[in-house]
Amino acid sequence: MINPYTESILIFVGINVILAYSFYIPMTTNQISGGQGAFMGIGAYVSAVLTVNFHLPFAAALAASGIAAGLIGAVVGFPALRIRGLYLVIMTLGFAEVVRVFFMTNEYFGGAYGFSGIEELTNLSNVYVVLAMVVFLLFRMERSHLGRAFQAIRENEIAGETLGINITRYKVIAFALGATTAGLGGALYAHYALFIDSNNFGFHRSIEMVIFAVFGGITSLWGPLAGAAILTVIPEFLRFIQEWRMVFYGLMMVLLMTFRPQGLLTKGMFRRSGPEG
Amino acid sequence: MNVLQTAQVSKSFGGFKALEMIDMTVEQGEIHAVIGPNGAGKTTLFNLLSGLYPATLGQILFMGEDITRRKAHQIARLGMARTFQNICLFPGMTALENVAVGRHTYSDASPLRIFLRPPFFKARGERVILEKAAEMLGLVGLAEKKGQFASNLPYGDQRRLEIARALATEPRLLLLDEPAAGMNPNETEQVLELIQMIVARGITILLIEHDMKLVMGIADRITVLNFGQKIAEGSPALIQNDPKVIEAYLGSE
Amino acid sequence: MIFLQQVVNGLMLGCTYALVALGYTLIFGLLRLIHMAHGEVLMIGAYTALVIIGYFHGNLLLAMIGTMMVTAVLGIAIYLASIRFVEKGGHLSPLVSTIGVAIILQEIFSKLFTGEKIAFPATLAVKNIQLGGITFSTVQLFIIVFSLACMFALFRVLKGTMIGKCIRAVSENMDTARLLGVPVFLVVAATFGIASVLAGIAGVLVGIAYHSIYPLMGIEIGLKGLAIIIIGGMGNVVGAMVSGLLVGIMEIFSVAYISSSYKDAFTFGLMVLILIWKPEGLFGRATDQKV
Repeated sequence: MINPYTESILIFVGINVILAYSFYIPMTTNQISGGQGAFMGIGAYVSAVLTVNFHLPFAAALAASGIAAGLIGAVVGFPALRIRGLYLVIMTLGFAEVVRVFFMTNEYFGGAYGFSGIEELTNLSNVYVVLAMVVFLLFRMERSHLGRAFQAIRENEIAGETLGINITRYKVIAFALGATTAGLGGALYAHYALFIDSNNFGFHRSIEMVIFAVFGGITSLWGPLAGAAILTVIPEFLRFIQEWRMVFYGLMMVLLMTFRPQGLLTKGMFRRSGPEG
Repeated sequence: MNVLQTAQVSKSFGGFKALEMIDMTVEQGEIHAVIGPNGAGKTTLFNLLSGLYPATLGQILFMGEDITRRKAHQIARLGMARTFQNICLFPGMTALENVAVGRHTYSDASPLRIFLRPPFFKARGERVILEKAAEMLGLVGLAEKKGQFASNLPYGDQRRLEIARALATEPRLLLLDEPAAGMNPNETEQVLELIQMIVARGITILLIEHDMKLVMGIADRITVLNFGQKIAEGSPALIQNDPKVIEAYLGSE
Repeated sequence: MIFLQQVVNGLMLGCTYALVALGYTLIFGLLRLIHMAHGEVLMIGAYTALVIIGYFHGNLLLAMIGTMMVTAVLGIAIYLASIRFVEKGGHLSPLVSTIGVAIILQEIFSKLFTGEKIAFPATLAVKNIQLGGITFSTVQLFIIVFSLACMFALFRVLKGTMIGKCIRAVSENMDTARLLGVPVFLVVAATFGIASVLAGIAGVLVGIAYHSIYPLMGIEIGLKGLAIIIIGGMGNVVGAMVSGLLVGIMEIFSVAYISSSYKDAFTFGLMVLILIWKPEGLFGRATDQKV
């Protein structure tokens, strides 16, 4: 079989890809969420509590954590509707901070000492099954009228509204789905890292997800996958980058935004001839 | 029944009164023009009618229903469509895709079907949408350009594309905001024919225009706005000779 | 009297918040973007002072001057490296690039100094002064007075000097200002310099107030600063100052009377309320979206 080191890298790649998509999904409706780390944390803690305290099977805990994160995402998504671009980033960053403090001060979740004793239930299959589901759903969606509606919201929200698109509904759905995806990523992470504390899901985690997605290219469905995969693997091969991971990511971001802000992959970049109807 | 009726509709932005006490009716099947100098509040009126701005005061009835507090997408579903003064196409989509968005209300809403469809089968619903969209493009004369990106189309085509997209919603009432803006006499003539064709299909038209030749030639009735107030309303002949209207455009002696 | 005591504590906190918020708001007013590494400028300001006092045995005055110089240069450098050549088209690009700078600086300083809190050298003779029944410590007085002096100086610069006029002009309409011959690049550089100096000063004051600093201190304060400019109105200088003081007082009171862990939640909660109820901020002017 695969050697354990490679397996470990593949699992982290898989989880990071899922997390990158959690940022990508709200972006398809122009919602920039700087707080996906919080939803990841919610998923992580909920799933950990369910398997450790309530001995639920992993599949159930996984599903529950996705739903929990999604519901909270929907609740947060509503006030988020009135808020554009930059304001939303700040609001979600603030929300993430509040969630972090919540987990840090709550004894039930381990408080400042974190939550330990989690069983290793994450493996290659369940990570990549979840990943495949996410990608499949997005793939199908983008080619449907739903995807077109999302694109309409992205490119000209007001025009879309006058054509009968319920902006509110779709934006909340996109935000909630992003939260669910982050929650699933969190649950998978918790059952691989075996120990979690509130600092795992703070500012740096949220930023990492943004970086993965933006590096790969947020206009392309495959962008987050490429970005997360490449940026997770590179530090593994270059020791000194591993030590200076944040500097590496930061430098990448500055250079990328200066020279190729659209990221690695862009929508339709592999189209050979002109667009078809 | 009147297609559209406004009662004392007003809109203020802070202290600024953009529209004051507008009473207006639009009759079934007519071409009704709204004219007035720049800043008179014409586009603001359109934004109120289509639900993009909430009215500060007053009431709006569409097909007999009170839509004053309704949201834009609900109003669109009731059968009101519009175009914009500064063309609001979806730049990253082709002409066909732009019009297809107009079919949104008629699309198969079930997300489940999207995910459970077996691979390589093109969704039936999607095919119907694209066919109807192509039909609309044909109506406005853009059939051969359906695969071009909207941002690459020449100005005149973009205006027509926006009209095609609005038509795709199968509206009862079509709001056209300066459809002939920036066009030469040839293109304006084409717009005129397009409007007549639309009316022939049973769609009522409410139209903002600055091109007086077009307006006088095609409108059944005209409402004149100035500084947010209605100063005249009636047939083209009446409006042309109304001293208040003349004063609004040329200034008083 | 405890009530007034808390007000003073709140003012002290609020003053540092206000200084940070002013920086954010100046930059936003000018370029319509959020400088996500502003908190790190504050952090580096604090460490600069620490190095000057601790390693070079300078006094507080020297540390302040040194910090101001270092942060001014740093601010302009960050502008050149991560904002000047980045497209302002989408909101995301300058956001991401300045976040990039932020995490670079955080990691560098974590490696240089250790990620943990380190002691900020004591420089002020700590005494208690009784004024009208309230006990002030010299630290509190110094911070409040110094901050207010800086804010006053800022107002004078913005209202009274040529550079201040230029900043306001460019904030109003960059293209028009350029056409009128305003050296936009210099104005932007000057604004970044001023904003960063304010942040650096705030960093030193935080070190004095809390006796310790750490490389990630910029994150929390930075986030607060962002919440504050939303509350006050993005781009609004008076709003930033008043809201900073307000939030400082509010946080101290929530710690004193409600719960110390959730003081952040109150600030962000207030921010959300403002976003929903008066999105242009307490001091901003409402603008409807034009179609």
